[in-house]
Amino acid sequence: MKAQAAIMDALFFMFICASAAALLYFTAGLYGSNSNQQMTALYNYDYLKTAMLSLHYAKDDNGEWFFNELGKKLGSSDPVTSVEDYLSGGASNVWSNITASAPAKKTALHFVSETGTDFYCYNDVLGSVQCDNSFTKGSVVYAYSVKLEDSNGDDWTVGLELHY
Amino acid sequence: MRKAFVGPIGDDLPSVIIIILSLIMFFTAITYSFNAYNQKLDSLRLLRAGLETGRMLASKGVLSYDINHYDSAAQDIAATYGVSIKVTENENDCNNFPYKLKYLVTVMSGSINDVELKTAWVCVKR
Repeated sequence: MKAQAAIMDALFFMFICASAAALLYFTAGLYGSNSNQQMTALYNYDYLKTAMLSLHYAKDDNGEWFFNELGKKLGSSDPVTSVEDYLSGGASNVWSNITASAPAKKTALHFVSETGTDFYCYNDVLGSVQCDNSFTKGSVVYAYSVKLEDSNGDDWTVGLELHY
Repeated sequence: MRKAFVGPIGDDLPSVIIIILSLIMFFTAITYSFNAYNQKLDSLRLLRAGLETGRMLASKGVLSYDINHYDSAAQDIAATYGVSIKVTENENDCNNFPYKLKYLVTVMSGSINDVELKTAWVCVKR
């Protein structure tokens, strides 16, 4: 009887040790994951902020200031087509730099006017620029936007978005 | 018939084995946890060093010198965090680095009218 009691006590001890070990495994796995997510978010916001700042100093292939030209295209009668033509033509170098440097799988420029026009410019599956409203958003989105006045004096919000 | 006396430990040998196994399991879990904790702390430190370097590099949006010029400035941050940092415009320079952060920067050569968009790489390792 004495030996059976000792084994029972040992089994209880083993149960307690196994519970403590399982708890340690789980907490060790979870530790820092929240901080890591926050750091990744910080990096994405840092990237967007500096990229937008860099675009203010950027010039297109014709030597014109990128944001000035973008304002002219947005002020045209068909801003969606004008911006698409500009990003695939005169500002193709700027656009390829944006998409090449972006850390996300999908990068988009999001244009929203005060008059209600709303469209995205992004690379389609073939890698060519497409501007429309059928952009498929990612589950996690980081965005940074600036105000831009078009050639008609209307305000636009131009956002650089990273979609994961 | 009475069983022979094996000894003070011999009688409890089955329970002793269970106790030893339990202790081995518990201390293995502690060692694993410490290793995981140190690895995560290490990766957070690398990421933080990279972020700080990126802010130093790209916070103004426009660079007065070529991207590679900022590699020497990044060494102060590298020393603070005890890591190796490489700032370059060529991704191939970062082949052995586990952490690579990309930034879009405008490089100015001479005047503000002479600018070029480039991708700057901030690479960090232990």
